[in-house]
Amino acid sequence: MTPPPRSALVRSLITAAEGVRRDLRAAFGPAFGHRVPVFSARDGHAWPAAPPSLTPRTLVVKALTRPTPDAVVITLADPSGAPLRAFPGQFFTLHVPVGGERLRRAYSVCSEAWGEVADVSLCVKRVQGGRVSGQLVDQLAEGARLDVHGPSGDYGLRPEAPAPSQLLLLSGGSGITPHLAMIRAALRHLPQTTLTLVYGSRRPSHALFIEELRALAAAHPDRLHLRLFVDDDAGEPWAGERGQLTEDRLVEVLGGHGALGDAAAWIGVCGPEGLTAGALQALARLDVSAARVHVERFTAGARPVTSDAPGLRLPQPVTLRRGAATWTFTAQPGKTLLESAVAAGVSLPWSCGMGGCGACKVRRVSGDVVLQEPSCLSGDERAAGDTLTCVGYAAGALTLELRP
Amino acid sequence: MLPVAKRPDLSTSMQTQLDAWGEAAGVLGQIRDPKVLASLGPAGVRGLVLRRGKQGVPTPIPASHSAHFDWSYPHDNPEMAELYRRAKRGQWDGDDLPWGTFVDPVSPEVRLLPDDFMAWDVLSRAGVKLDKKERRELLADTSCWLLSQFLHGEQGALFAAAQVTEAVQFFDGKLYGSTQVMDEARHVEVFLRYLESKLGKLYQINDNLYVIIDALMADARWDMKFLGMQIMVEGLALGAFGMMYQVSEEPLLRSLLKNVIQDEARHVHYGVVALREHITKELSESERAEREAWAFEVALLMRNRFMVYEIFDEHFEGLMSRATWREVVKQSPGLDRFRAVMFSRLLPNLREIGLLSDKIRPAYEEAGLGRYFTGLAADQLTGDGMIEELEAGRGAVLVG
Repeated sequence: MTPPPRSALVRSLITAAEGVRRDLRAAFGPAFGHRVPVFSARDGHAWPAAPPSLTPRTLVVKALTRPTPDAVVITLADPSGAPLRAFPGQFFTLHVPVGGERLRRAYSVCSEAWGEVADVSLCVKRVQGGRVSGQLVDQLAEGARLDVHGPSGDYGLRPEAPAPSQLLLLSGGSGITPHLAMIRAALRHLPQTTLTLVYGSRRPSHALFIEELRALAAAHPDRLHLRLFVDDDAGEPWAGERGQLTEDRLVEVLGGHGALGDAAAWIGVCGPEGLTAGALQALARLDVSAARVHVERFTAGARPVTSDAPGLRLPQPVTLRRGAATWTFTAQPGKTLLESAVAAGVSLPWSCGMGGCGACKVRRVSGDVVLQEPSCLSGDERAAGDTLTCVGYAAGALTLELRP
Repeated sequence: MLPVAKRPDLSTSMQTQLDAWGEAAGVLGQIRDPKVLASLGPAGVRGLVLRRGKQGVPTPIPASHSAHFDWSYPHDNPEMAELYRRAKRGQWDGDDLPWGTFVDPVSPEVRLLPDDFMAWDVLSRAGVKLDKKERRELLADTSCWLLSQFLHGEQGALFAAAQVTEAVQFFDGKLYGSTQVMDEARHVEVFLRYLESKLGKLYQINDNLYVIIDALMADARWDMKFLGMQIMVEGLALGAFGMMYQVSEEPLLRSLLKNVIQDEARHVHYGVVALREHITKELSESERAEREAWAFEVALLMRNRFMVYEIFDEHFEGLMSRATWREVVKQSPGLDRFRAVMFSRLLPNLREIGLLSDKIRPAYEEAGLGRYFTGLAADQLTGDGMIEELEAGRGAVLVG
């Protein structure tokens, strides 16, 4: 039983007595060694996150595992022990020094991430002739420090979005990594969602995370359905299906799947260009509109600009507009638009810093921009005049429009 | 690593406490005018003895002024109406500052405060020898202490501006006052954001600053609030902001201070316009003399008593006495410059509103402040002019 409320008089007497007690303690306590802390620690979480500067942050390699001879899973953590914040489907941009150059490459998170986590795991698969992937697979050691940007990208699942009724994920090769993170997160955090993974690899020894996937499917037999393919078993043991995931094969595999006609389903494609193109065609043939399909493209490292436009060698005036507001800065030769803006104290949105996520996308109103390629801009975006500040250089006086 | 003060033994505690009480008695004992003592005394006891600002709970400070309503809406002061127009146009958004700037409080390249800010020789004579890195750490803490006091001062200014807006009898002044309330809220916002997101630390309010704020919040007379807030505390703020603007190399802090200084310049201007009228035309000579003496005492409190004891408590208690620490602070070139900027703003304003008569001048001269009697008052200085003046003095040697 709760006691009856005290009368106003009693309450004011109690307040007064507490005040006197505090006054006496504050007046005489210090003489007997009682000290109040002279400051309080503050962490700034209440303020909107400031756009990060171009300086990467440093993470430390906590663990390394090698799921196949040609891949490495790198577990990264903040050296101070502070948590990281990432969502399934996002990627980090690693800055890797190779022969005197700092090359940037994006790698998706494959560990479960649903906001704050103690660490993240990225999967790196060796690319034929790849300088960065080769060095990471062969030479990285535990305890090493890596400079990173990110996490970046809006592909994948987010806690604030409505939970999809089902996930239909089409992966090829190392395109499995963002999907593995999504499967792990959905199984734990989206209990109503059912999942289908269609995953194609060239050979059994190239297929990543097969044991983990089978273990997850065994633990959730009624929720996770796996369709695992290899182009050719090459004589290696393989318990899955065989045959390359071409457009025709995908029509056959996906035909009749419940997600196709379900507006609350989430359909995602991540893999090499050939598989992505085939999957989009196949889904179109199955009457799934392109707008419903989420695509995560691999972005290879952008190559240095080779254009010899004379304007690239001169400082160029840049005007930025957002609604009625305008800012101006000078683009310096040899610096990206983003680097010049930051150096001039103009903050612009950006994330991966390598043309891979589109966070820095702006609309070109007038003037020429030369981009490092390849980048994540689609043909439609290019036609509409979109460009990227993190890999863009001014080849003349520019006017750019920021998204509202 | 900087030393961290340990929990002191009983004799150190007693010594520290006796020194603090001695100082409180000194502050109150030196006030000669009984009316001033009556006004500052109770606030002094609450701040210096009961340490109301440091009890770790919110502090209620009762107010006893009347809100002045006027149903005829007179256009009674064109100068204030002009200030109101300027203030509306001078509004800015704290979010537009370059918050993306990376701030390393101990960076030796982009220094929050210059290396010669502190009296290192006095510290080392007291047996505390700091290497380069420890000096940067102490300067980072000192910057943080200063900015924390700015923030606490702005909270006082926010509430005082609201009270003054209620109490003042000029209708144009009320409209202007509302912009000042907004200005002060924005100053609270940007200082708090800087402390929380860049420095990671917030120091408690200094006891002497608490006394001033308490005294003018509790005073029922609107012109005392005005004098306290618009002339004295804003003058203190302009001195402190101006000093920091001149010496700091950190670009975000400098652009923050630049915007704040331009607002403050309007505030002091308003104080001068409102009080000149009131003090020279409406008050009796004895009332005027009381305010003159009050302003003198508060000026001394501001000059002599900001001893940065919170930093002493954090790092040096037990390593040196409070008296030695006071020497460190008094001989610090940076704080010397702060006092110079503050009084060069404050005294011309007091002169302009009629609170620097021949009766009080000898007292200021005795305190070594005679050189600041001339100079431009706030109604002749714009915010831009003030920034230009600070920029011009930027390269000058610290010791003035």
